[in-house]
Amino acid sequence: MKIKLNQYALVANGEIFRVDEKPKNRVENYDYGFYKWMPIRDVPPFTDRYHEAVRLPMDQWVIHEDHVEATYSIEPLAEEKKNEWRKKLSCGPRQFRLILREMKLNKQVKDFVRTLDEDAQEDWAVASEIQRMDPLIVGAAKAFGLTDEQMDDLILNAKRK
Amino acid sequence: MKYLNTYDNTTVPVRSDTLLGVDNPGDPAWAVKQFTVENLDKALETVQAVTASTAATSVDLSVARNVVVTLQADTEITFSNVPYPASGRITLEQDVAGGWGVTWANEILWLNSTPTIGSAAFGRYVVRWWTDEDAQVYAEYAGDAFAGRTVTSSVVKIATKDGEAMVFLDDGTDLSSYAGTDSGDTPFKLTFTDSGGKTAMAYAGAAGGGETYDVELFDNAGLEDGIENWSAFDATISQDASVFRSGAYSVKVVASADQGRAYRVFADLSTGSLYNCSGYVKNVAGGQSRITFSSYISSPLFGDYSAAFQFSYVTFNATSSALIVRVVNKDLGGVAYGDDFSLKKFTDVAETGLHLISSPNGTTRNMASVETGFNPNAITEIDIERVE
Repeated sequence: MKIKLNQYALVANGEIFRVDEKPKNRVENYDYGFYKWMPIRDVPPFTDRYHEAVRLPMDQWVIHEDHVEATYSIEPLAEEKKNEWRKKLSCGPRQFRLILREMKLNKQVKDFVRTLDEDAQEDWAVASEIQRMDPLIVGAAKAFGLTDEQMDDLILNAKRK
Repeated sequence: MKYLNTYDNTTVPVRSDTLLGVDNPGDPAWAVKQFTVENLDKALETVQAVTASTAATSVDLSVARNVVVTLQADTEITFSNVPYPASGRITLEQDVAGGWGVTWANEILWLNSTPTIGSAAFGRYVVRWWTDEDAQVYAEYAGDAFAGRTVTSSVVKIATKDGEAMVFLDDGTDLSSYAGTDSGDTPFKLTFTDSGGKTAMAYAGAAGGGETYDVELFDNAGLEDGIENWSAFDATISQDASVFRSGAYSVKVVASADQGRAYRVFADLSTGSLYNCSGYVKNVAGGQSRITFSSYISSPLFGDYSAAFQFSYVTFNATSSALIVRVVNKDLGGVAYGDDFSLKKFTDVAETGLHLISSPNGTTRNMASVETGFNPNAITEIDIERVE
């Protein structure tokens, strides 16, 4: 999300006509109506990690006495956007094992790893970083019936160990 | 008879001639119409636009009591259909050229003295007027009203110094939703872009602990001990005992040229630290006065001349040589007084601000990167990205 600053709106007769980055230090008057540049307060609302704030068209913004407020709707995040930050999500191997121990999943995971081929077992043994979107982790999550969101939380909690 | 029904806030009968500016011009003056209270408020706030492009300009106050006159020539303004009792405002707006003069055809009884309207290009100068029992117009010059002097869009205030890095928005926008901790949890990355496209980046640590400051850096802030350390530019300056906000003295500035000023230089501030600067200014004769605070050498910018208390947040910039505090009068011969100054470094920001951390899940209060030439006092955008 972006917080945009120093944006101004051209307002006339209760409508916003356009937005400009440069402040205007004058009121523009025409034969009809009363035109005026007003500062825009454009701060998207905070969302959880599975939603995003989508800026509404400017005809849905709120015109206050001395400024214009950009408005937003909260929309579910598209899968590809979720996967963008999931790809960046990782923790250390010890952190991961600590959280598994805490969740009493360590024995089940060991049993699961033993079912993998030799290369995958070796990777698991020597991994210096556990990546959220690593196929082995994704496969393990499915095997244990964890949802994507539960798996996200698991890695995030592991990071804090 | 006119009245408002304040009990049910719905419709009430009122005389149409009490609603000048929104009523149908074709209606007879005594026609009774139904207006909501909301509409009445709107009616009284109606503004008419008049262009003054010749030596004579007519303003019909039955169209609207509030008027914006765009000045494109020296002109004499004549009011017609003056309502009473009534009140309104006249905003005189200089055009791109500026410098146009105004005289008044009607006999106006001015509070204080007949004002001289400012001449700045796009300058806006406001006159308030009223009538009592008859059409005699009384008026008072209210001052200038350059756009942007009250509400502006959010402005970022940031300290980029190692050990102090923090940020807040001066309109109170709450950034604490993005907070992590200062002890190893930074869920968001913040990228700041300035007006020149240069960027600086850091990670969101803990929310601010409440606005706190270091010691007062402005010695002799009340001018009680003279004007040592103050300098003059295009002005005569002195310690003055006749005008002051507190104590017994102020610094007096008599401008010998436009933008004549007294100034103090603070050269040993901490680069990247965020400072709160403030002071009081009073304009007594001629011109218009203000205080400016800037971290670079430049001519003062005018935009707010009449406010008594002025303050600014300034990040001492790596490219600066000093922070300069100026008491300025805009016009030759103008007199300004300054008093009760303050200059303090932020040690923490409000709960709505954030500490900034230099690495993901790190613990060092610093920026992760600052592009060469980045101007912390001119940030135009913050990009906040979730990183966990």
